[in-house]
Amino acid sequence: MKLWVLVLLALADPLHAESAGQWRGPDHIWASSCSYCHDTGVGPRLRGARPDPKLVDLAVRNGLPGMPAFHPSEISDKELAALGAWLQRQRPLGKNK
Amino acid sequence: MPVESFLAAAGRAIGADHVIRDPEGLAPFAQIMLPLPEAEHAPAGVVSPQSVEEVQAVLRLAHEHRVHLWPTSTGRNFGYGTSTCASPGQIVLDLRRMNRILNVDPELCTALVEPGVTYQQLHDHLRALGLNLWLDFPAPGPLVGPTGNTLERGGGTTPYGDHFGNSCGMEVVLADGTLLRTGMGGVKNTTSWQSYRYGYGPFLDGIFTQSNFGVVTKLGMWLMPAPPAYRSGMAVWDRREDIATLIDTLRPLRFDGTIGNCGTLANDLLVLASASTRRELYDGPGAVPPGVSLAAAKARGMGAWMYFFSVYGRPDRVASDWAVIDKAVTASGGRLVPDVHDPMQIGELSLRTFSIFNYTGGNGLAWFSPVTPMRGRDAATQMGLARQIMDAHGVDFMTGMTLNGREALNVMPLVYDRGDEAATARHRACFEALIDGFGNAGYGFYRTGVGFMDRVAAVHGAVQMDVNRRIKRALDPAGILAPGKSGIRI
Repeated sequence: MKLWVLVLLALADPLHAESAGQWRGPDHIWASSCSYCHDTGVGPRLRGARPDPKLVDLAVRNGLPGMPAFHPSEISDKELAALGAWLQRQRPLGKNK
Repeated sequence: MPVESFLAAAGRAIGADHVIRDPEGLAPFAQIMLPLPEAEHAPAGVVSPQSVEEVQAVLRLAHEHRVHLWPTSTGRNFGYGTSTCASPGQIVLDLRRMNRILNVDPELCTALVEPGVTYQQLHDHLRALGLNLWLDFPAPGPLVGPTGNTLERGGGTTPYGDHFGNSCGMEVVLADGTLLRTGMGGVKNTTSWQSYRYGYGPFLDGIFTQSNFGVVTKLGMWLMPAPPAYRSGMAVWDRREDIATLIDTLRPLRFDGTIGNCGTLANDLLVLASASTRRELYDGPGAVPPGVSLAAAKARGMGAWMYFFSVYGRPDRVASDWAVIDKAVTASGGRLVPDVHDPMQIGELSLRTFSIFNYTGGNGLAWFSPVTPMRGRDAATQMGLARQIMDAHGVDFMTGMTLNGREALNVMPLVYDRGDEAATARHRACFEALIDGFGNAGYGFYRTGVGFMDRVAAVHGAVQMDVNRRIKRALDPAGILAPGKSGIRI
C-alpha cells in the first residue's frame, strides 16, 4: 500500500526543470547521453582517456563530425564543467569502482 | 537593428542568460548536416523561454520588433536541418527549457509533456514509476523528444511507430498569444484530453504539424503497454530484383497484423555503412557499384535486401505469427534469420545508428523521403529511379524503408563528407534532381529539410500552397512564425 501511495504522489507531481535540463549530475549526463556512443564503440572511448576538460567543452558545445553540439539550454555551463572534471576521474570502462 | 533590440528586450523578459546573440554562441545553432551553405540558413539569435507565459511574451516582442521566430523543441532534426531556419536571420525559439513531464496516466497509458522533454527523460520517468510501458522513438531517441518528432510526423518501429497517429491533444500558442487546446482540451475541467483526439468539429491537430501556424507547448501521447512476448528477426533476399516480390509478400502480412510493426527494409549498403567505412568497401571513382556492396553483404551472411521486423503479443500468437511469416518469406525466395536484435523495435534506447556517420566521417547527412504506395512495382520503380539519379551524381544509394498503412516511407540517407566542397555540391544537386525526378513520376514526399521545402511544396501543388498561405494569413497575419517552413509564407 505504501508503494502505491508513493507512485500516486509521483504521478501528481510533475518533474520540474532544473537550470538547463533534466540532469542529476555528470554521471547522469554520461549515462543518459554520452555513453550511447562513447561506451559502445560508435564514438571514441573517453573513460580512462582523461580528455582535457577544455577539449570536452569545445566538443560538446560545437560538436564534431558524427557528434552533435549540445547547447546551454540542454547542458548548462556548470553541468558541462562538472562533466569535464568527472571524466578526469574515470578509469577505463569496467574498471570504475 | 530590429534583431538587436528584440534580443535585448527578450533578455529583459526571460533573463539575459537565456538569450544568445554572440557569434560563438550562435555557431552551433548554425551547424547543418544538409548539403547547403550554413549562411543560407543561419539564425541571428536564440531565445529559450521556460513557460507558456514566456513564449507569449516573446511572441509579443517579435511582433513589436518585426523579427521572425523559428520554433524548435530539442533542436535535433538530424539530416533535416537541425536547428537551422528556412531563411537566414530568424531567431530560434528554443523550447528545450520547457521540459516538464506534466502527467502520466498509468490506467489509460497516456502522457502529457512539454516540448523540451526527451525520450530518455520520459523513459527514465516511466522506469522510476515502475510502469511497464514502452516508448516508440526515432533513431536518435535518447537525444530527441516526442513533441518535435511528432510535429515533424516522424516515426519509429514499434507498433506505435506513427507518432502523430498516437498523439492525443495539443496546447498551441498562436502568433497573437491565444492559447488553444485542441481536441477535448477545450472542455472546462476536461477529463479526456489525452483519451480522444478528434474532439468536436474540425480536427485541428494536423495543421500544427510540419507547419508554422503556432507554437506547440504541450503534447499528449499514447504509450504502448509492453507486450507479454515478442520476437524480432531479419528476412533476407539475395537479389536486387527481388524488391517487387518481397514487398508484395510482406504487404498482406502487414495488413492483417501478422507482422506487428512497420519494420525497416534496408538495402545492402545501408547495413554495411553502419559497420564499415566507405574506404573499406570501395575506393574507386563514383558511387559504390551495386556488385561491390552485394558481394560485401553476402560475405557477411546478408543479401541485397534485409527486412528487420518483430511480432508481438501472447507467446502462442508470437509463435503462430512467426511460422506464417517464415512460410511466406521462404516461398518468396527469401530466408528468415531469427532473433536479430534491433533495440528500436522493442523500446530500448540506443544511438547505434549514429555509426553511419563513421562511413565517411564527415557529418554530412540528408534524408530524401518519398512516399511509396505499398506495391512491388512502385517500390521497384522508385529504387530504379533513385539509383539512376544517384549514380549520375556519384552518390551512394542507401535506403531504409518502413512499411506502414498503405504506403511505405522510402527514407534514403545521402551520407557524405561536409568537409569536401565538391562532394557537398554533388549531393545538393543530386537531392534537387531526386525531388524533380520523383515529382515528375507522380511521387510525393513525407518530409524534407530546410533548403528544399519550397521545391517539395511545389511538387504537392499550387492549390495546397495557396490554401496553406490563406491559413497562415488568418492565424499569423504578420508572418512572425517560421517563414518558409514547408514552403509556407504570408
